[in-house]
Amino acid sequence: MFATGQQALGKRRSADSDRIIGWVLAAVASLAVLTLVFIILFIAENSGKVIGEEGLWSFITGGIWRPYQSEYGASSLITGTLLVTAGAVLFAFPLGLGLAVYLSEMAPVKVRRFLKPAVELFAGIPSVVYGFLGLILLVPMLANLFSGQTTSGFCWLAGSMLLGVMALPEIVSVSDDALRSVPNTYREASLGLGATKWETVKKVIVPAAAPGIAAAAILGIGRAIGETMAVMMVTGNTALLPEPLWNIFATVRTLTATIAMEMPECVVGSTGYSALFLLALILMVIILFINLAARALVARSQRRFTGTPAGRFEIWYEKRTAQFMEVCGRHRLQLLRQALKTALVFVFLFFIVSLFAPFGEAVVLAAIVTAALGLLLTDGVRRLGRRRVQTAAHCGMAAIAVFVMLLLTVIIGYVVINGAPALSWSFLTEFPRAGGTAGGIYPAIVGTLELLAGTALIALPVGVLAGTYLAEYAGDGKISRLIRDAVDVLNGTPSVVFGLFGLAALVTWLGLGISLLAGCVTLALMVLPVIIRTTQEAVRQVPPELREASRALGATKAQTVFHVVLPAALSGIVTGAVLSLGRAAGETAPIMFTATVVIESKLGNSILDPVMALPYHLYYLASEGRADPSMMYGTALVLLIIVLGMFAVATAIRIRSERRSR
Amino acid sequence: MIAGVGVYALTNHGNNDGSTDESAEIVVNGSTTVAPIMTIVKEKYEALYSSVTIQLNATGSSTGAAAAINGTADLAMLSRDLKESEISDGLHSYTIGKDGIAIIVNSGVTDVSNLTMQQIADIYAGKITNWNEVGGADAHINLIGRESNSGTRGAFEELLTKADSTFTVTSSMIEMNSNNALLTAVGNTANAIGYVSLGIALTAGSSAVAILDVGGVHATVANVVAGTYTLQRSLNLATKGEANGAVLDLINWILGTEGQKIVEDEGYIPISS
Repeated sequence: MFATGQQALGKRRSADSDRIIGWVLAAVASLAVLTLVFIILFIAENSGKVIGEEGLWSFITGGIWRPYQSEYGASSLITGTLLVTAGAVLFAFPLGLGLAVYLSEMAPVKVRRFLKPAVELFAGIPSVVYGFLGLILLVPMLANLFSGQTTSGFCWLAGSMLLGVMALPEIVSVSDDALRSVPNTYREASLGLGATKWETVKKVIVPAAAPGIAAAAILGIGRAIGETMAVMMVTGNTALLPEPLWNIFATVRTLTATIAMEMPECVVGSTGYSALFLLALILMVIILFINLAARALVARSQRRFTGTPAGRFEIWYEKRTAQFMEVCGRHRLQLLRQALKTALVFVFLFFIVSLFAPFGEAVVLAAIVTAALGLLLTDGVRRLGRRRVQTAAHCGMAAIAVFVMLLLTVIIGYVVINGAPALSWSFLTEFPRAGGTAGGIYPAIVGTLELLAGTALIALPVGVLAGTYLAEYAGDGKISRLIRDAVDVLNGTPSVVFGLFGLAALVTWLGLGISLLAGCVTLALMVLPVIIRTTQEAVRQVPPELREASRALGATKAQTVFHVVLPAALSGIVTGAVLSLGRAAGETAPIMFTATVVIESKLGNSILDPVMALPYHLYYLASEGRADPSMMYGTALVLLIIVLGMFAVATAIRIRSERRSR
Repeated sequence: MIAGVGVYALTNHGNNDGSTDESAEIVVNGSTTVAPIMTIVKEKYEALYSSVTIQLNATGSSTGAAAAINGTADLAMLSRDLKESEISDGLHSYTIGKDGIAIIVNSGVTDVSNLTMQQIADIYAGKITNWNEVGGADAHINLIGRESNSGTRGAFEELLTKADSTFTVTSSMIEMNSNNALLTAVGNTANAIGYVSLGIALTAGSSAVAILDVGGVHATVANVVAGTYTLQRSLNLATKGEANGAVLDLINWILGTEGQKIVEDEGYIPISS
């Protein structure tokens, strides 16, 4: 195609069209970013009232949250969010990374083909279902297991465990893509030097994939921090600080739960309303800080691979380290590092043990376990030998995979067992009767399919093009980094905020009313950040050799991007699309304010008509409906089947693209 | 393009000034407690008057009221009385029924079947923390309630304050955000106590929870009507300005025999009995 006789003329035409395509991409990216900026401004504007009345400092540090008595002190809420999210990441990141390593480096092809979509299935389970399962299964289990520490089972630990499971798909899938994109030359070089497979993974591949893994972690954190429905069913929602601060069995409340619980009954325009928006703003600032920190950490580890110039902090850090080494010797520096790590482990163990035993005993126990661990990991590992360590590591990773699959089976099994009795032809094709206690869910099924189609139609082109632009054309300058930060921050914004934005901007201001269109646009805005981010990562991970080869053959930039780079990045892009659409299918808050009605007796005629939807119907049955529980689980099961269908299509696309490139 | 769609939508939505001859669309929004009643009203009313369509949303009493004020809804549902600001913004309310508030405990709490208002107030203020202080076994009371803006909670705490003027709810109360969630939480948590809409408690018929007597009075519809069961609140519909046309017809139907029968069937208390 490149080497035709018409090349001279063709080149000039394609140079022009190349620039046009560049502009089109820039326009699309700007549109996406502008809309996201609007949302941020919308939140900021609505927070103004309470800042004026209460003052920002007293809002953040105040200890009492009682809006109906005009007490606006959010410190316990902010702490609650930070604690629950930290716990969720501690739970999900090692598990997720381990599973990703297993998937990309150790699993046989057939296992990987089955396991990866299975893990992504977690993302398709609606958050209402997670919440209810947490309430029915997790909370009583914790109350029984730890009856000395918690009487009711509602606690920080429950919230973290639940959120950890919900963040798993993002972390696993995106990390897996990042690991697989590390060039094989790295692996071959490392093995060629005599390293075992495990050592290669640990010291070469994972660090090389660090930016992608960091993106995965950020996406996972964003998911956890912005999660609303599930977390408020299991943490107890007391606006108090845990006593002591590390008590994982204390009841806590998160910022998102506060927003979700209080917003529906808030008078629009009141101080309380404004206070909830300020909570959302604080949440976004927290996410911003986490992103910056993660980015800095990654940049540090990447310098060895890519030689990007060091930042000011890094230069200062390196200088101090060098000075210290000159004075005290390298050996002492390593000792210091070891001591710090040991101290950290000791403190962590002490925190946990002190919840079960009195202070003195806890200190002793923690010390013993720390010492044992230290010995095991240094001396024990050395004595075992590198081969056995590798086998142990392999077994460990496989065990993680089994554990996660077990979890998935339990969750999905519960839904299937309880929902299957309700499934019947009439359930799927009839309209609901008697307030949803009888009849079927046909309009909800249709509505969900319509919402998904509309969301995909809007979000996928815009998101993929914007992500491509950011990765290929925008370079790494200040503006593109700013955009990336904005996108990451919006990824962690609670879905209820998108719902409110949709209500204010689309339903009310634009006058669309409660409609399918408003719902689709709102959902599209919600998933846009994920699609942009994953596309950006996927495109970035395409090896530069492919681009260079294409350009060397005479292709223009646009031709390279669309015919070489994007197909190579297809797998990662599909991952992002699948994860986000799966989430969109199960989200309630965005559509609750913009598109759905409680009950419909006939289908709407146009995109300006409201619809029923499966997640909202599920939410309605779960909160106020009088229907038999099997109808609720039946609705969840139908939703799962739809999501599963979507994933099957995505997996097929992924397999075909992988077969071509590997 | 969006602007064009918007203009089209603006010119085609919300034109019901109300006669029942041409087809009318009534947009209803508000409380999730009243929604179960309205779903059945919608079914029966649309079957009787085929020219009328009712669009039913349930995003909360306050958002429903706000929608009625700014015109995106014709009728608001509320599980509480109108606030001053809402009245001054032009809303008129119509009470369509009453709802009792039931005190529920986990069915494992077998020794306690009755509590006085003072005891309930002390439990929710955190002054009584163990079941053995009110005649039960030695076990920590797991205290569960609704979120701060809940209409149910507002009514509940107001009534407790009437019984004990020093009442302030404790900060260590576990909060759940809906009637069903609270019902499930109490049913699944040992030694738990909570409060829900009487309508839901009666129709759910859950064996995992037991309904307590208050001050010696059974929690039944009859006792709420008679006034001997004091934990109750009204369910309201609200319109901007006086209701007229199709909306007025709907309200009158709900206040009529058929409508009130629906209210009763859902476990709520009809007002004109």
